[in-house]
Amino acid sequence: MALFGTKPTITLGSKFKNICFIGLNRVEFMPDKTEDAIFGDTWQDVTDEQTRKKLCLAFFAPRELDGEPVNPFAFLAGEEADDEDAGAMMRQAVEHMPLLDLCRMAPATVNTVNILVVADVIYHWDVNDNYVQPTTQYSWGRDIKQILKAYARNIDVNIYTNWPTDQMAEVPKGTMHPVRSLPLDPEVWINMPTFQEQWGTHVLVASLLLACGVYGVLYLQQQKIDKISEQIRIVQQQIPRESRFASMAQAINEQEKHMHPRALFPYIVKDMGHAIHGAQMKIENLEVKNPRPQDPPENLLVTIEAEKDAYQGWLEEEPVAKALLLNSATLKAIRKPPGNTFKLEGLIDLSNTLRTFQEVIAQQKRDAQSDTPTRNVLPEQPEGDAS
Amino acid sequence: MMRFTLGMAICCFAFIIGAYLYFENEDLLTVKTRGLRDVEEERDAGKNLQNRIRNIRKISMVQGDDQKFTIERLLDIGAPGMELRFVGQPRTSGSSRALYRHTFRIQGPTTYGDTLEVLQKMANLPGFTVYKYCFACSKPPKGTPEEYQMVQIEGYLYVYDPNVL
Repeated sequence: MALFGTKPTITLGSKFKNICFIGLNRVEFMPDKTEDAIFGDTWQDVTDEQTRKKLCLAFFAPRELDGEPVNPFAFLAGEEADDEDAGAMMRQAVEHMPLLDLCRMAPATVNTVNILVVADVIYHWDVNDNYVQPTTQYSWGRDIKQILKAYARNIDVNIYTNWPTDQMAEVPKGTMHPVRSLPLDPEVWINMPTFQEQWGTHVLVASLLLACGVYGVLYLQQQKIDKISEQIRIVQQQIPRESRFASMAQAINEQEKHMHPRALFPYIVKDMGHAIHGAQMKIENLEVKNPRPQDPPENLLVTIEAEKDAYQGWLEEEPVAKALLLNSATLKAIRKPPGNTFKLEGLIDLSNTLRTFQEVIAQQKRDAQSDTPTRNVLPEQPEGDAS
Repeated sequence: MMRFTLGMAICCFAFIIGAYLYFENEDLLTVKTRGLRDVEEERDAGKNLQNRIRNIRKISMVQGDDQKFTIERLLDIGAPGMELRFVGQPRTSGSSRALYRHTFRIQGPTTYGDTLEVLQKMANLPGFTVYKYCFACSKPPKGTPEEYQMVQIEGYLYVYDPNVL
């Protein structure tokens, strides 16, 4: 039931453990997990250092003439209320405790009167206002009855008290509730912690955890980096660094490139022979060469010079050149360089030709490996043949 | 209030510095990973060099066999036909004579068919690679049969020292 138009989920008992109500001349202290209350003259008398750590002070501070509540610290200072130092000292003593000025309670809902009976006070509030009256443990039933006379008979009455009713001659009319079930109005809590104060510790702990997590992630990353660095160092030690390895690698690289197309050379010369024969060309000489012998061969240049005066003019030379190109399997292009003699120059692309003859060369290698030894290739020399 | 402020400050500090260091470390990790891959490739290349050396021994002539008459016998040539000559000094790589090459020239009167046979033998024998072939490039000596022409074959002969390589 929403008594004050606020959320009823938070009650006095659910929020605070040790509650001390300060009445007019007496205090009632309700320790946590205990049914029995302790009565005394001042709240300092009934509490010790341990209980004050989780103590909530509830009091009924009067109002100024202008209707505003008095300074609660000055009120709590009591007789020395006029002394500013006393107020300041009281503030220092109680500012960390939850302070509930019950006289700031919001009005009750319509047709409802709520009554709180604690210490030596009957505090009741209705739809209009709230009121504080003195009472005793012997007279509070009659006092409530007297109060309820001012209200309609059918009004809802909620009485919050822990005082026993078994020895009372006449139990007051209304629903009895324990004091700890009194709904907590936020307006009452005069030093309610702000969001920052309430969640400061949580935020701090969460931030520290986050910082620890970040540190952990960075630490793992650093471990990973260190591990890779260590691996790099180990692998670097395994790399041969001597200069002879570099020169050896260079020499091997060069030799591999030079020898790569070597199996192709006899086929090219043979192909040129076939092409010349197919073209019925009368030649003076034939030359097949790598134009740059110091570099690994990429192309071969074929030069064919015709017999002197065998061909007269373009009409005779051109068909021969075309026939030569058609009859060759390796020539990529052919041209006639300027000059008085009939000379043809052909270009052989070794990489393309190598792909074409790959299978043939592979077969030749297999045959050669089965026939030719790789070491000490010189066959045994028969005696007396050295001359 | 102080706790909240301190907590938020730590949170922001941890987040900003953490994010910065995290991404910096990620970049460093990427660089290191690439570096590791590079040195591993370099190491593998070093190991591969051993395989290549093994392979190069198969396709190179053993030191000691690189003699004029030995090679002529292998190629089945010699006076009065084609003769082999080494041109200049062997070319070595660096200070080591583990691997070196001769430049050779085979020259003499022969037939086209015989040169094909010689070229084929060179292709099968270890160490030979030809860069020039010339048929009938010069006049044959007097008295040479008509079907014989002067042939010139130039190339390299790669040799390795089995005691070093």
